[in-house]
Amino acid sequence: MSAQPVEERIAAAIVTRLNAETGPDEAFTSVARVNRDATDWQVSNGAVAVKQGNATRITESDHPGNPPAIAYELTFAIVGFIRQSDRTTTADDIEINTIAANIKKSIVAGLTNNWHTFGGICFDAGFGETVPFVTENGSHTGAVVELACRYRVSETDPYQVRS
Amino acid sequence: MPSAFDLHFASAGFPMLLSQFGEPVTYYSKGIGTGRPIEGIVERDVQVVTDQGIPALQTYVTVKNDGILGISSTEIDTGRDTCSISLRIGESPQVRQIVRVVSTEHGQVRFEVN
Repeated sequence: MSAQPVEERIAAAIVTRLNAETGPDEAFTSVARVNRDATDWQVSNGAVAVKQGNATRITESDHPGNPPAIAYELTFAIVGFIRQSDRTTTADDIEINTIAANIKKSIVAGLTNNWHTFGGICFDAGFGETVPFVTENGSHTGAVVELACRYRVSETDPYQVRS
Repeated sequence: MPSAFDLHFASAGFPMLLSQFGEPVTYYSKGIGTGRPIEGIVERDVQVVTDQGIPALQTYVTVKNDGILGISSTEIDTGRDTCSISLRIGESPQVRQIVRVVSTEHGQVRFEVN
């Protein structure tokens, strides 16, 4: 049995790719999957949070067998936060467009032919909507980049990737 | 222009509150340098969920509106400045981002920290 469920392996691969662009001179200041307490991370300029969404069945992509391979589409919301200096003359939209582009670029980086497999876990992946936002209290702007990952697992073992 | 109440509260009321409820805070202009040690009233552990469904901290700090003993309302930059506070009583201070000025009245600067 693999150490992690397939969904967790996909999420870890996404975070690893985003983290490659983290640092003082890189695209993002931090990348996190946030827990309930949230004391170990903070919303700040250039911070990215990865939030896992629903795993939806895609029955048309199932494969027969014993046990059969059943297909899912798992969506992630990759949230990039922007908080510019009070004295900046740069429009927020410019920074929002930049962080959204950097999120997509870092997911694909160096793997232009097979980025969508996340190391052989998925059979397809693709970006969905990019949604700009302003937080309710106005403290941050940013963009949510949707990423849908499609994969198959054994009907009897959600840890096992199936082709 | 500050009102008469602002001036009186700044000179008498707020220093009294600060002496009773204040604790050490270090302010870092533009998030760099050695920091300015000041006193502030910290309202901590306000857990919120952002509109994007992500848990985050929302802590409020109130300091004197002063460029030496506190933070001046004209110098604070909510995009770059940070401060060091204890997120829980007794814990080591952490450097956190100042993200929003809530109020600059009555001789105080009240701001939100994430």
